[in-house]
Amino acid sequence: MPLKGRRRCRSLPPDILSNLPDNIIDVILMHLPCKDAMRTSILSKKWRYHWCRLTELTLDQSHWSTKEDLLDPTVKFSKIVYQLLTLHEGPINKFTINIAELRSCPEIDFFIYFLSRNGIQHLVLHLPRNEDELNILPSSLFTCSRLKCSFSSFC
Amino acid sequence: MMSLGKLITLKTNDNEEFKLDKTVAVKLEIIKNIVQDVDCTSNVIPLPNIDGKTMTKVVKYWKKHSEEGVTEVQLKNFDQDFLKMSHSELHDVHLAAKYLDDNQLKEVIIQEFLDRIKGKPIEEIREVFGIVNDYTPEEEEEVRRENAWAFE
Repeated sequence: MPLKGRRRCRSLPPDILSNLPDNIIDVILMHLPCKDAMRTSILSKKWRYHWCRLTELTLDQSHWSTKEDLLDPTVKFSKIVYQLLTLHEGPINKFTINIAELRSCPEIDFFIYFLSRNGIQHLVLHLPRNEDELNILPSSLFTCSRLKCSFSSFC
Repeated sequence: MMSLGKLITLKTNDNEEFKLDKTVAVKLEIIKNIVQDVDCTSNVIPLPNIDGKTMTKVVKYWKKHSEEGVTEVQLKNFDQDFLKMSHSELHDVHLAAKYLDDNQLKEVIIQEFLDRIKGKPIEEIREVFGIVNDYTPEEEEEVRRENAWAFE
């Protein structure tokens, strides 16, 4: 039966990317910026939830500092974190957050709490120095037996 | 044994033979194990999972990377040239590197796949890799909504 609505299927190259073993796809996705990894969900049904099972995620400066986007970085951060938490499945072993413009943001505590219950082993937080409301880490974090943390702040 | 003992022959599944200096071949885990396990006087190691075309590429890579006095720049240029192959050839070399347990080559191939995807529009990734979009327009809309932030 001919495939409807798909043009010239026969001329397409074999789908090498989707046929790579899952662990290789994971490595590729983990090396992409988080946003690009998430965007692969639209490639095809096979890719829809692939990024959701990544065990290493990085939210770096490039995610907040876009020229066209006037949305406040803290608001944007909360929005992104909310979406990530809603969609992600399974353990997250390593998480890196790099955000220079973060103001008071209670969501980060929820986020760390979430990570502490999801197998976090390596947490890298690069946050602004905030004299009054220095981000106090939730105590749940200290129950993670294999955790290695790196903290640093923008001065 | 004469100097012949220093050569190892790798035989692919289509009966192509590759003679390699033992010092090059023994760097690889799998070959080291076979050499240790088997009395290697015949010096022929069968590679049932790899064809000649792919092995030619792998051997070319090994030889360059074990050349004496080769500089970083030369290797970088070589790698760049070496990686100019189709996706399916790249995939075959990756499978071979996996079978031969060559982590360095595996990493180089994965990095190349990554470079071919990074920053590309979705349509182009689909086109280049032959991924058929099997979403209905409604489903596609739903996925976009689900991951709204990534598609802003």
